Amino acid sequence: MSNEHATDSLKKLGAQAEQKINNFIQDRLNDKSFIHLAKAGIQNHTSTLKKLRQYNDLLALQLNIPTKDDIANIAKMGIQLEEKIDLIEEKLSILVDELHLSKNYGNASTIVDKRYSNSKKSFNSPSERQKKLSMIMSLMNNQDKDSLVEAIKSNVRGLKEG
Amino acid sequence: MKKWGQIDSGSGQTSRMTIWKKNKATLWYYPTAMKKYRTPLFLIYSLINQPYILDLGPGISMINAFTDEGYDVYLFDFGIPGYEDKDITLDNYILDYIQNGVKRALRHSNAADISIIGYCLGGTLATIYTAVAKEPIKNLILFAPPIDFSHITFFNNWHKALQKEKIDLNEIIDLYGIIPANVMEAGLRLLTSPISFSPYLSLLDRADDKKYVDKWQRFNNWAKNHVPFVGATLKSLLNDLLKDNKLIQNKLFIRNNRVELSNIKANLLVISTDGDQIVPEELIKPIMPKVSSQDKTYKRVKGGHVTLAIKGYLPDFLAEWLKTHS
Repeated sequence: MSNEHATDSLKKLGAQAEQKINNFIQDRLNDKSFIHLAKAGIQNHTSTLKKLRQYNDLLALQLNIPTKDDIANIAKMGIQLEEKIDLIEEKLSILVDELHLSKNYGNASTIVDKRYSNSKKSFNSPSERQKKLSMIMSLMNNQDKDSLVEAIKSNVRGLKEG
Repeated sequence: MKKWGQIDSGSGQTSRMTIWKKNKATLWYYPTAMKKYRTPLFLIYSLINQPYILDLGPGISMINAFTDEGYDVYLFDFGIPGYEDKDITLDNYILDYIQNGVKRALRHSNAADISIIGYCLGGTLATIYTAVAKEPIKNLILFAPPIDFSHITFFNNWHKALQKEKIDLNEIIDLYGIIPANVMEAGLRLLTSPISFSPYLSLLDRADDKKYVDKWQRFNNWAKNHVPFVGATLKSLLNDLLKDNKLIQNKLFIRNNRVELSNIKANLLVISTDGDQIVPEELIKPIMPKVSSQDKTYKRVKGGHVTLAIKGYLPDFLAEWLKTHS
């Protein structure tokens, strides 16, 4: 018998044996009596673990050392901070999109409002945006310093009044 | 010289860049050198293993096969959760992680729509997300997604005990907070193949084939490289899906929104393999009549649970389906 045939036979035999052993193990594991045993084991383990955690918390309190939960709480604060930054980033990118659309299509802000309707509360209304836009435009048109200052003042006054 | 088993893996092989990070999760972008299709692919892998199985090495990378075909690929990598993540729920994963990831991918790609591809448990997550999504999802492709848990043939007594509440795992899960990776690995081995030596016989058979040995090592490393499982999510999966089978019955709620499978209108391709010991066909196929998709295909192919992911090329039916739907 050649080596090739030998390894082929070995593979076949091995696969069959593996299947039989696994079926045997899985049948035993799926047995109702084993499930009862596992249930009791889980209950014991749970109760031991609970006690250990209680002792651990008590000891940590006496020795003034942090527990795993304390450290996890600090890590959670980092995660919360990241979420806040993420939210700001999200809003900033919406604003950038809005600006691009305004530049390209003039009154495209209504399109943006629809796209981001969920975040609408945190943004200015279209009329407010229009006021700000006209203020910027008027500043751009006034080249010298004095008239620039005057334009800012009058626009700010205008915004306050209207 | 590297010792046996010491092989570079885990970081992926195809060139990629980070688009977004959230907690431990990362949204990776794999640009294609020759873009042929407008609709990018968004891959969601399981929470049990690491997603680098999709990019295992040169010639054995499904991601590389996608980019070679001309698709831009986004991979949502959930990362390795820590004890501080024990309270992340299924709702968080669907809405805060996957949905935000899809939004980022859409913005980054500037595409009008996107194709979602889910693998194994990632397929279940992809299904839940697509049913509640507001984003424009053109295609939904699912590889071996466990959806219907009413016909579990293996460990049926455990399933019954769980259904009849004769066994309660909630308290122990809460105590652990996060299920360690080695416990996940042992649990899955018991479920599929408690004793496993036939892969070593295959290795012995082809020990002189360097390419095969390299692939074997990479796969073996991946198979033993599980990640911890977040307790709150595991409880949702055990109670809502495995025990009460809420997903297929449209009874699952994600942040107060009912997950109606009939809301899925995207073109659907569902793939199962005949040698899958982890997710048999009975758990997968019942999704087909439940969705509203006009264009839906169910395909059964030869192979095991991850065979398609490590082929290194796209099977003809998948390449053709994607081509006509992207």
